[in-house]
Amino acid sequence: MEWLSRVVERVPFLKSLLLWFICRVAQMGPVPGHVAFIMDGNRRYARQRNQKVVLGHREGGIKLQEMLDSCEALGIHTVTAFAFSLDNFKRSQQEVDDLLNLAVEKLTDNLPELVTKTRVKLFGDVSRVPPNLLRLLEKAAKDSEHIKSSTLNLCFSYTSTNEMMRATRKMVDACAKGTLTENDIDPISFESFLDSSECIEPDVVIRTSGEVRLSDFCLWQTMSSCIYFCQALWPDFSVLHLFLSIIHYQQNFDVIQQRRKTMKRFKESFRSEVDPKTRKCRIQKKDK
Amino acid sequence: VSLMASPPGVVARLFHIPITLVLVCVYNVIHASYSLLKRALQIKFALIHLYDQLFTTITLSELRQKGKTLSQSPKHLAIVLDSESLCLSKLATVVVWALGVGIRNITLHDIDGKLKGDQKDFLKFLEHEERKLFRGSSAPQLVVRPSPADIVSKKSPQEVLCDIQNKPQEGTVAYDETNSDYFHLTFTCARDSTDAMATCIEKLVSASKDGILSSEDIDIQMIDNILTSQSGSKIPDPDFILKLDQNMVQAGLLPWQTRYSEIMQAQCSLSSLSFSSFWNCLEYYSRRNKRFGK
Repeated sequence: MEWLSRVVERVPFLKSLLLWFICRVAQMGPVPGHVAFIMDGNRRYARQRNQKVVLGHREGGIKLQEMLDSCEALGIHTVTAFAFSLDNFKRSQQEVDDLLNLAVEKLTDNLPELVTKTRVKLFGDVSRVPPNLLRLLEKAAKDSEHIKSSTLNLCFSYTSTNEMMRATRKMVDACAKGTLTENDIDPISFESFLDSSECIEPDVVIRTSGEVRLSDFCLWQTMSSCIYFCQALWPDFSVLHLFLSIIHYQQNFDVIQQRRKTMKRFKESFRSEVDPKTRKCRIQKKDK
Repeated sequence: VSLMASPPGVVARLFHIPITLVLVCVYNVIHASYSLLKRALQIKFALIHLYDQLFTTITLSELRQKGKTLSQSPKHLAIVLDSESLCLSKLATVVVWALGVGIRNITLHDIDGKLKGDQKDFLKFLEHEERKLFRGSSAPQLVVRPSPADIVSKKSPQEVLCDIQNKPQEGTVAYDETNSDYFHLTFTCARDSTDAMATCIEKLVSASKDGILSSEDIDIQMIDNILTSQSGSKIPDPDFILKLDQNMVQAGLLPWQTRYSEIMQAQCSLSSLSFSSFWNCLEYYSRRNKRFGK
């Protein structure tokens, strides 16, 4: 598979033909509306080629742009990308600075064109984002507010536990101000305070580089998502891998819909008592 | 004459039908191959299971020996099951294997909570399997922990205050991972995940109204204490999730607690899970390397 991807990458005509073919085949069945990427493997990619780590991240940035184009061609209207975790601040200062500078450079080059066709949103703890980067992202978010056709959620300075903590703080504040009552507190209202409040849940979460965990990424939002773990490192991730992830999604489509309904039922029935034997909801404890 | 007048439209339509047919064929072949591969794997694991049942017996000393060979063993194993095909006796066997290998914290999760409803029946099977394996030796004592939603909802104001202040409650015994006299079993369902978080927020709102804290005081440690500690004592979060529901779709398992858990789908169902397949999953886990973002 990896050799096929490398051959395809080298021949632009083959790449376009493959993308056309993949789009047509994939669209014979259900295509995910929202794909989330955990873009792992940039450093290993660089080390494999005896290059500096920052070059691996640079390749990773190029790959993200390419995947956005492929998703657009496939009809995937929402993409969430885990660009920088709060945990990544634990890396060496040199690497963190390189990453942040690279992010500024990439966003400066690509955002002006991106915001003309994609709504850009920032998920993450803005207090930890460097001011110059934050200005870029906030401007991009503002300039692309009106676009409804496709969305890019950029998770920067983000972990899911941090997101849930911030949502909790907002709810406590809202209760203190009186805009939310205690009776209004339920899983549905909690979701409305998350960074992802305006988005649908991811249909597929793709993690590259062979790791098999979510690493504190969109934990609440992915409670009924399909997970696809890919061996390829992120810069090696190709449209073929994306196609396989869509096949994987189509194979699990019925299960996803069923689990989504179950989760929705549970979230909506927070205050209902549950019969311990049948596990069905009995009565409403409190009126909303 | 009318055909000759608009050849491009007709030509395009003529090519469109065979191209679509080819694409439909390719789509169906890909999915049929995928399903065939899955079926072949299920047959392979069913045969391995049959062989194991006929020719292999596992003793406690073998399990203990094997457990020592793992470079890293999960401190807390979460097993995700298919609500529609629960086999309680087989599940009890799997739990007993995990105990024999040295795992002391096990969470059994199915999305609908059917296992929670059949908890009493399951515990009877578990007792029977334990007696079979541990005969003579003392089996670790079972402690059934309440689900996270029950833990959070039943916390007293005093307990919540200790969680907020990140102080252990007076008189509580901290969890000792070297103590092999006990093993903790938790039954969860997807509702526990959603209810636990909402109830945690209710507790914090209530504490805020009582003037104990403001929103800025809320941090990840505080929420973690409320969600995971019971009477001041915490067991480790699940570090290995073994999916026996035959798909890679999340089943609403404790999102907060499983943020760094390794996830593995066993390629077979619960009923055809042999010890060698289970052992392969544990060996797979032992080879994982966690970086925590570094």
